Amino acid sequence: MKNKQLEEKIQALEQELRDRKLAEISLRQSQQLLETIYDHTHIMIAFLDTNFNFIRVNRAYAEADERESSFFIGKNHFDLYPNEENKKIFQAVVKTGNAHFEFAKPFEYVEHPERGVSYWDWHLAPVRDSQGNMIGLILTLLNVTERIQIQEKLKHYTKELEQGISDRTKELNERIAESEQLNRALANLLEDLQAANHLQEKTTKRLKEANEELESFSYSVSHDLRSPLRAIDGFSEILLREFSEKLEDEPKRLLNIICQNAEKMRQLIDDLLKFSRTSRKQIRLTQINMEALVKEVIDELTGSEKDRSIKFVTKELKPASADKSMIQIVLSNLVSNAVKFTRPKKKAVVEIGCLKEKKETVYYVRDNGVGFNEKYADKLFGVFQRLHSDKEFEGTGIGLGLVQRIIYKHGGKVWGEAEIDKGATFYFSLPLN
Amino acid sequence: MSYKTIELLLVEDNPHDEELTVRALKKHNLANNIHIVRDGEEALEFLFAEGAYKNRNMQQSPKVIFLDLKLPKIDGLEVLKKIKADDRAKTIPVVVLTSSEEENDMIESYKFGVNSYIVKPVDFSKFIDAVSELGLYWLLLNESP
Repeated sequence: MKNKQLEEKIQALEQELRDRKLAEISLRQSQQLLETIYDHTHIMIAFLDTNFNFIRVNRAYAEADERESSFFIGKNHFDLYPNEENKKIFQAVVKTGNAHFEFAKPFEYVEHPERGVSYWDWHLAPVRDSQGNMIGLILTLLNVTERIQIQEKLKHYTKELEQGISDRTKELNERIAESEQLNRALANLLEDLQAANHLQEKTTKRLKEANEELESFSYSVSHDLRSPLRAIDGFSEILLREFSEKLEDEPKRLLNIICQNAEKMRQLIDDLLKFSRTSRKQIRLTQINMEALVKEVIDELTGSEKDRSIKFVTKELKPASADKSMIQIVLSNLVSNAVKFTRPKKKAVVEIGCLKEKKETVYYVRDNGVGFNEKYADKLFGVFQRLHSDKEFEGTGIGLGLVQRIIYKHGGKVWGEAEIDKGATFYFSLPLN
Repeated sequence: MSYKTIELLLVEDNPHDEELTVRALKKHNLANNIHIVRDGEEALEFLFAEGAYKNRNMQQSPKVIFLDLKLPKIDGLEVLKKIKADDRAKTIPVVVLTSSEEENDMIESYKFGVNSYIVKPVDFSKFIDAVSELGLYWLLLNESP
């Protein structure tokens, strides 16, 4: 029994010894772990006594100050890093027993101003023994200068960026204002344009009305003016024919004057109508054999001038692209003028030819007639404008006006050259196409 | 005058043109059976035996109608249109005898079925010749149904 009890006790002791051994191993292991962390962390760690004397520092701490760890042992923190403000904080921690944390706190080495300002995250916590008595302080530090510098730079860039944005925004606003101004100008322009358009519409309408008026006028001329004229001529003729034996010579002569003037007025009305009708007519372009057309015109005109000696010279003529019936009127007027104004000449010569230009063909009708004073050249083409009296040469003064109207409608030009008693040349141009 | 014998209906509002026309016809003894109306309305009343002409026998149609275009009340083109649109009258030859040389008047007249379109010459001799020839042709030469 006694042996058995002893044996049990020994067993219990052995067990306890094993347990202790295990505990010791475990304790050693955790201590090793802590030491490893302590020595390899980049966070600086220092153990101080309550008077702020170093008990030990880790590798990171010593390296940060470019010293050996042993250097610090026994030295006072504030002898190495004098700073009144920090000292007060340290003292408060000892006094209150509450840990203190600083975030990005600036620090300057008094003895090394060349190092400049550095920034630190640091933590100071009291260390107590198992009875709760404060036996020292653990100071952990992290140099965050770089981070702060980057933050500062970032702030600076942000500010620059903001300035840039603000500048661009300002610029943009200016542009917008400019474009708004432009828009307004454009709107004004548009308004002006609309007003101009409106005016043009009104003008066009008025023109159309005027044209319609002209049309109805020429209709009246054609119808209403001719009837009374026919009566004047008709009844004068009846008097002359049927009551001839009752009339003396003087009343007969007067009646003849009435008839002649009626005839003259008929001619005027016909020409005026021809003029207004040609003005209103649309041109129809065809290829015209000008030589054939000239021949046709000459044949028609010479029928009434059989007793005269007129030499017609037709040169080679380029074909024209124009309205045939209108160009026939042009040629007929120019050639008949040439025939008319060569009447005092014994040997009349009328020459028709053409000159080829780059973009147009110029045709001409030349005569050796009485010509005209070039000082009146600009009056030649006026409607009802005449350079000769009726006694010299008959005519209504419509012919050249009509010629000009027709050539203008074709996009060409017409002009005349002359010398008194030597002859005249009339030119007209027609665009090539 | 009995309407039976009417050979020519002259529609003319101008008394002087009328007199000149009648004179020209008389020269060839063509003016005996002529009836003159002075506006478009009267022309239509005569042709369709209406109004003042309601006792006229419509079967007795004139051989030809000389029609002026510019007429009071109903103008010549309207008269022409009515004649040519009516089965009872459309076979009567219509000669437009006008002062108007307007192309439109001529085109419209032919569209409505005019038989001839003559512009009255202003010159008296030419006028006499034209009317005489018209009378001879339509009253003597031409055969109507």
